[in-house]
Amino acid sequence: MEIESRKVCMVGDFGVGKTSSVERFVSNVFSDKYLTTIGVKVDTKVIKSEKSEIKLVIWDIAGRNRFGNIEFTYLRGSASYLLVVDGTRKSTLTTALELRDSIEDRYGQIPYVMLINKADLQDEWEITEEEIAGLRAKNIKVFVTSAKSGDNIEQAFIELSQSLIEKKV
Amino acid sequence: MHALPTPLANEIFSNLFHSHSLYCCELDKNTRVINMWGDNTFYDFDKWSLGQDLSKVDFLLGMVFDEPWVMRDVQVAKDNHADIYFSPNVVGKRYLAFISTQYTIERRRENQLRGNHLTLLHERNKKLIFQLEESKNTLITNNAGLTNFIASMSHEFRTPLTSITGYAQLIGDQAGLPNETIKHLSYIESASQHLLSLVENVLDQAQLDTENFQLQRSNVSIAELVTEVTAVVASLASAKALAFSAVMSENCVQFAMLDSLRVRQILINLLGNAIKFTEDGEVKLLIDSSDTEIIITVSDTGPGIDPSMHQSIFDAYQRSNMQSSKPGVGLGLNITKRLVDKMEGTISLLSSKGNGSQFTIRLPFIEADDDFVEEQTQPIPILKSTKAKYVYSLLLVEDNTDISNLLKIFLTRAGYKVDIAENGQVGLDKTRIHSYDAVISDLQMPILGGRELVQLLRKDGFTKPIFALTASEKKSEQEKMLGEGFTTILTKPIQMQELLSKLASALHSEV
Ligand SMILES: Nc1nc2c(ncn2[C@@H]2O[C@H](COP(=O)(O)OP(=O)(O)OP(=O)(O)O)[C@@H](O)[C@H]2O)c(=O)[nH]1
Ligand SMILES: [Mg+2]
Repeated sequence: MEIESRKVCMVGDFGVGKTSSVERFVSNVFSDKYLTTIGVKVDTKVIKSEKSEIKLVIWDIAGRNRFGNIEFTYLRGSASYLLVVDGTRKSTLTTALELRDSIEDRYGQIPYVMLINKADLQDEWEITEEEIAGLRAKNIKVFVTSAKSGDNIEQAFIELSQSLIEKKV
Repeated sequence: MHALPTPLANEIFSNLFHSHSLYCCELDKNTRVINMWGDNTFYDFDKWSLGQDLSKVDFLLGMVFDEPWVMRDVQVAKDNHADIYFSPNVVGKRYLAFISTQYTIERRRENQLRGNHLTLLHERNKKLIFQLEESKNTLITNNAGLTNFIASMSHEFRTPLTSITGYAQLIGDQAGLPNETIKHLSYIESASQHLLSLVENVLDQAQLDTENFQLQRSNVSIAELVTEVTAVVASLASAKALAFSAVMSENCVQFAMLDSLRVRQILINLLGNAIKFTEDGEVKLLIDSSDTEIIITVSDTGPGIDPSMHQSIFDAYQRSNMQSSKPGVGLGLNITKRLVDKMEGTISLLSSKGNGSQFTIRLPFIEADDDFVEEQTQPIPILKSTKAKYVYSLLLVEDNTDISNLLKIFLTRAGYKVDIAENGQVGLDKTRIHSYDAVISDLQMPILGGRELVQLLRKDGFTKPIFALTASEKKSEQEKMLGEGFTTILTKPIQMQELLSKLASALHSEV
């Protein structure tokens, strides 16, 4: 039987590590080199659980940057999305929340998880424990991740897949 | 709106078709392919077949096929991006079209990357300013915090500064930049260099202020130390075409217990200043010793310092008026003096306006350990002496300061010495005082134009090459000018490479 596909999008400011997170999750690699994404690149990975399996179709979208906002057309039909923040740039958290609001304006409430990425850069970290607790208090699923070390990346994607499997959305 | 005439539309379409790798398919109401046109292999779609349901394709997943839509730059194959258009047309047919955008992706990626980096730089700087503001209050009330603050900020300053200079260089490396951009880049470069040296000096100053500042004495070979320093300094001197010599007297003590890092800093400060302020002639370093002191003398043939300034020149943030146009020395001499004080030495200055300067530093030394001295078997390295290389000097006669400044930057970078005159008359006066290897002159100028200038110059017996900068492309006109005494005619806008190569060949045939 054909595995069911679920579309999930990577959303966030430029340079926060959307592409790096996907590469870590799908191919378990990381590069320090920054190759900004133009448009969208689609990757897939099959997630197996005891009960069933699904194919995650991950849409890695160019981040918001000075050349334009993200193209919301890409998000159509998304079962879920990952809202990625760069923990060393607090402004990217604001951007992420704005993007979430725009998505909800267009497509209604879609479940999402938030990655606060680059956890390996503790010296430059700008988001406090209290702020993270505040986000969690608003029922946002927050993962503090590092695409570089791999910390929590897999957990975030797996947790997201589990909720997609359970809810059958 | 009227439709295009069919032949024209066909023509345009077929051009598009070839250059943009168009691919199109018709879908039925279940998003199955019922018709295909174009080159699908280009997109790796060759596995698609009639009857296939496209709504299941990864990069079309979730799309709704009722309203028209466009998706830009979708990566549809490993090395291919395309814009995807869905258009349900009036008669109920549904088309999906792909137009490759791959051929512009790399350029757009580069642009976007550059923009992203600039935004990051800007964010960083804003953050710095914010931190500075925050720290200000603590500093006002807590002077002891100052040192720590400066030490920690210096790192923060350096990082963005490095990016600024780095990116300025990156931009500058590109070919074919507009002249304005080159000029602006050179401003960025010199301003950040200035800032960097300020930061370094402030940091040194702060370190000297801390109570736990201590000299780190160790066994040092003086000749080795001096050789190291001169390696750095000699290249600065040769970049300015100054002669430079470093001599260690025969009787000088060879080994001593010194804080080599700090002595090096003293030497570099003094020699660096000497080179910075000397435009012609030479800079000399002499190392000697008495029974108890090492004696360092740095002399130059620079503008000299008025005796009334000899005391205050060692104060922090003080500079002789003469030097005010040169950045980065506000603290250098002060730091030198304070280091010398810490070493319980003395610094003195012999100088007057117009007669160069000579700084003498006497540093008491402790003898080196015997063990160390015994280990040192190598002969004393030979010290350095470089000759001034010949630098062609050019006179640029041009009333438009934008152009003259730019040309000056460019020619100076290429190794020429450049003097500017704002019109023919000033130019003529200058050639009567200084000797130039060539003159580059604009034609249209107030008071005395270029064509008049060349005639007067040749009458004066000036035999060196004279270049004309003209906006006129008329051959006959140019030939006439060659007859009037110009050596070479250059047409505006000036091509720098052309100017350089013509200069080189004209000057070469002179020698
Ligand atoms: N130290 C560290 N660097 C990271 C991490 N994740 C990403 N980076 C770096 O951050 C830069 C940007 O990463 P990308 O994954 O390209 O960011 P993006 O969100 O896809 O950016 P756009 O495509 O421009 O929107 C790259 O230089 C990465 O190497 C991380 O966890 N730690
Ligand atoms: Mg990316």
